[in-house]
Amino acid sequence: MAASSAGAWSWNTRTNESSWDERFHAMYDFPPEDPRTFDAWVARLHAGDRPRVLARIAEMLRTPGDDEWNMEYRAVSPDRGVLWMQGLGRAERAVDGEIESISGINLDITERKRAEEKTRESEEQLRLFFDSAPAAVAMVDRDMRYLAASRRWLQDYGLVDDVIGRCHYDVFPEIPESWKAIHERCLAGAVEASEEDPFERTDGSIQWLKWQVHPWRTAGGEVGGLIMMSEDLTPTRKWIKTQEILIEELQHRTRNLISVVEAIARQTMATTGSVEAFMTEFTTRLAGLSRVQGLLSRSDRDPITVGTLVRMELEAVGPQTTSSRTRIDGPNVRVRKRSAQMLALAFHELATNAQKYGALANDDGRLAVSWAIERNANDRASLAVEWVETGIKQRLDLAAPQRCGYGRTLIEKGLPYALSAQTTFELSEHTFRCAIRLPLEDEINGGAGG
Amino acid sequence: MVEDDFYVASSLALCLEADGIEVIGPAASVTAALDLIGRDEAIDGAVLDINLNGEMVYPVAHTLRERGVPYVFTTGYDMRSVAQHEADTPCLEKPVIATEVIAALFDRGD
Repeated sequence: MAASSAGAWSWNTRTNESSWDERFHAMYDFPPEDPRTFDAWVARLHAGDRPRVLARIAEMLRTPGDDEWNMEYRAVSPDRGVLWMQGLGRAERAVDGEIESISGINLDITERKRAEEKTRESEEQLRLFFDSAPAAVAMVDRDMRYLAASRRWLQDYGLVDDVIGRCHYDVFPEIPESWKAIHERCLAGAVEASEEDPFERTDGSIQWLKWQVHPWRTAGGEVGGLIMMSEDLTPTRKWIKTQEILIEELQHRTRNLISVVEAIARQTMATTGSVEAFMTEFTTRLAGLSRVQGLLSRSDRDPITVGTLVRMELEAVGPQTTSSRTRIDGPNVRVRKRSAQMLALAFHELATNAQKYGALANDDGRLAVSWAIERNANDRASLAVEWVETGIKQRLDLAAPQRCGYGRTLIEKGLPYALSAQTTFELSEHTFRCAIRLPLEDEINGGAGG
Repeated sequence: MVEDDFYVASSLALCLEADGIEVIGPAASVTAALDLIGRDEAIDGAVLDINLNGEMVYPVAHTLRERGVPYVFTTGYDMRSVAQHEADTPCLEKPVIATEVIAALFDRGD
């Protein structure tokens, strides 16, 4: 029997007389001389439990055969405050079935209840900690049933339903035997961890996990179960792969850029006489190269369009290029990265020439840039760009050196070579027209490489 | 010469020609390159850009190897990205200098 001894009591239901022993009297901290009545006892009951107790008594009184009295309830002692009591007893019935008396014992179970409360509180605290911990943690008992799991744990493994009480192996039927062996070893006291372990899920996907399992012990020192912690490395791995690809692309672009700068320098040098003239032209072309690099870096988020390139290069040449004398017209057409650089340089050359000796060299000339998507007989799409300058005053025919330089080579040779484009240059009395037609699908490779 | 970038191609071609070398091409794709080779020109050497707008140049290398024509690779990526079966082929990182190309092609074993 428990350390605290029981107090005995008896209550005559017909006469309402009751009696109890010294132990009982002391358990409720009744003053020594106080009467030992049923009502005195009822008065000691905690207000929150009194209705429940009285209701149970009433039920026994009116129910034939209901003879067992077994209740846990709170009482209030003037000295010690709230106490927990357990009452155990039996009813004695008369021949007619009515209860004559109920008698039994009382146990003070305050200590036990307090301990239970403390455990519940610390369990609640633990549950709260687990729940809000920014790590994926789970606690299981010896049978691998969940006692607690953090929100992160549920998130990382895509668990929707509550797992508390369920067996870890039911929640994850795909757990390999090798891992079950790990759990067994840890239940025997081992601590195990892994920096990187693939976990194949039932849907076939693989999660890469960094994990740690160790036993937790009860107050008695025995292993009560396991604590499992994991970190999902899969998003990090994906990110690292993406970074590696980006860095490779960047390296390629940088090397290519250096090659292009070298080529532009060489070609510019071939057509300029003095060092000053070279520097001016060279730095202007480098600026054009630099502008399109900015677009290329952002192009995954902001795809580059024909309109963007045309406007960018016209703006760079000067304000007169964006005045009402210039018309820019065309649908939203995205250009591939590799086309963007050459097109930008081509537009730059066209814009510069328009300003130097074309329609924008005087006050009345007009520039119209337009583009459209065209489809040929095989339904292959092309981008057709038209650059038309009207009202040109300065008569420079196509054989003139100013019109035979770097820009023309780029458009007549470079675009066809690199982008399979078809280009035309036409000059009449006061009009200059340049047409560029560029396949929108990759026709060189026949679609290879995507 | 097989190179998909116009600037790089024209620049290198200019330098090689200045050194008295006749440039066949340049070609910007595997198809165009195989076409050039197929025209039965006497080819003394080749400089091949590994990555042609996403397409790898290896089929061209293979054809040249069968004809006993020496070749070198150029790349804008890391030299480590060359395929295993071509590990013994000289690879030059861009931007390449014409003299380096000539040395790599014709000074081997001399």
